[in-house]
Amino acid sequence: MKDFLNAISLLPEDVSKFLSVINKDFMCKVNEIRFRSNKPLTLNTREGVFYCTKSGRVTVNFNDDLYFTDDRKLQEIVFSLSRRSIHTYQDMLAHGYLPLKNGCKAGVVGCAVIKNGEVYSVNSFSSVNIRISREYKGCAEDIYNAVGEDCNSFLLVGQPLSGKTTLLRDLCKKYAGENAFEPQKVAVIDERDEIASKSFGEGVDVGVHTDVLSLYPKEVGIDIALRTLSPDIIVLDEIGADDEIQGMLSGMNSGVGFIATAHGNSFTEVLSRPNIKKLVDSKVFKKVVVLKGKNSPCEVAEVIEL
Amino acid sequence: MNIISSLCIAFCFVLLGVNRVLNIKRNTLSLYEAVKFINMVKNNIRFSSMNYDDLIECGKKEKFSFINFNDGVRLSEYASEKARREFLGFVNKIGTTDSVGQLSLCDEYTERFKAFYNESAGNEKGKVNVVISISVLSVVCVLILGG
Repeated sequence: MKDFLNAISLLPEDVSKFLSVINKDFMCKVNEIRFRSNKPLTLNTREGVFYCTKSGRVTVNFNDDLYFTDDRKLQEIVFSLSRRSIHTYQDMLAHGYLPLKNGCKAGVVGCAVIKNGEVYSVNSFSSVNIRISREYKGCAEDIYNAVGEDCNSFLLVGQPLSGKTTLLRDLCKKYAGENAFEPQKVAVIDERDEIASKSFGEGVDVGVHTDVLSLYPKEVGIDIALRTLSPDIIVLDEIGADDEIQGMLSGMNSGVGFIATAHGNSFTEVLSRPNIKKLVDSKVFKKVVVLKGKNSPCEVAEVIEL
Repeated sequence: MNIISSLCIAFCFVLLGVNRVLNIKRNTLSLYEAVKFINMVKNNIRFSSMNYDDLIECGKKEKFSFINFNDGVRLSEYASEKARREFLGFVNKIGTTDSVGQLSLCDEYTERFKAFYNESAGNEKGKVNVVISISVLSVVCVLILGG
């Protein structure tokens, strides 16, 4: 329930007040809160999609009594989630997200303003998707045991909502926490501020021996970490872009281990992507861990030796 | 009428004049601080994309005498009604656009408040001269009447 309330704390007062009255047990199941322009608010759980009435009652029935979000309210929601500072978050908005507290993230889309072939800014927001992040202490135990103590370089593959980012947090503590048997120096390249959420206050605990590079682009973060932090392990979320791959290939020559995540249902699917194949062929990773999926989050389906 | 009564009457008029000048002076200082605040916002947005809450914290640290941070951000009562409305308008627009828009906003309001400030400073100078003149004339009148 605390995670849900943290996720809605930056919403406009009337909206967060309205959401805070829904059933407490239900709150613990919600993964996503979705606002769409002139559409009803939806609450997504593993069991399905639910609507919310104007009185805060959760229902599966589509009817006129549902809480709808109009255009004006959606603009207000985005303004509030950006802490009244569109200028501070304009780059993140151009990339379609806003960081929230405790590793939560809001996906924000609308009408793109294109400049030189790239999204420069967004106006007329049309959807906001608040993804609720939850900490599950000890969730990385199985993976840690599965890959082995001496393996500090592997790829985590899983569908959305399969627990990749949650596992990354716990893995950082496994390798760099105060209870780690042989603590390693971990550098987290937290490009979207989802892993450690350090850009606003204390954030999430990711280990005593962990350095967090918040909001650094991955290729820049890898370079800085290698030059200045002498890490044993570099942790990254959602790899795939060309320059990220180049950064990792350069880093590999420094003897640093990489723990990274990639979207995919299986190893075969992920291997069909040229960039990931390049990493695998270059032996950047020693193993690949495939997760079961969103119905069994943080659970290992298979471990593949490379 | 004896000399003391005359002096008192003259002194009252001078006091009224001085009070008026002080109010204009405070208005001028309020407008000066408004320009300083807007520049502070502009620099912090330009060089560090500072968010709204941090901008307000920065403002509080500057220890402005004529800007209140207790209930939102407002210009003091000594500023004119128009200036206070404009300042509130500026504060309400902080953070509503991208950084290019914010810098343009700061430039626009800087120009407006500089114009208010120049008008007030000119007004103040004129009134000071009037007060000095009245004071001198009052003393002369008192001396003539007393003599």
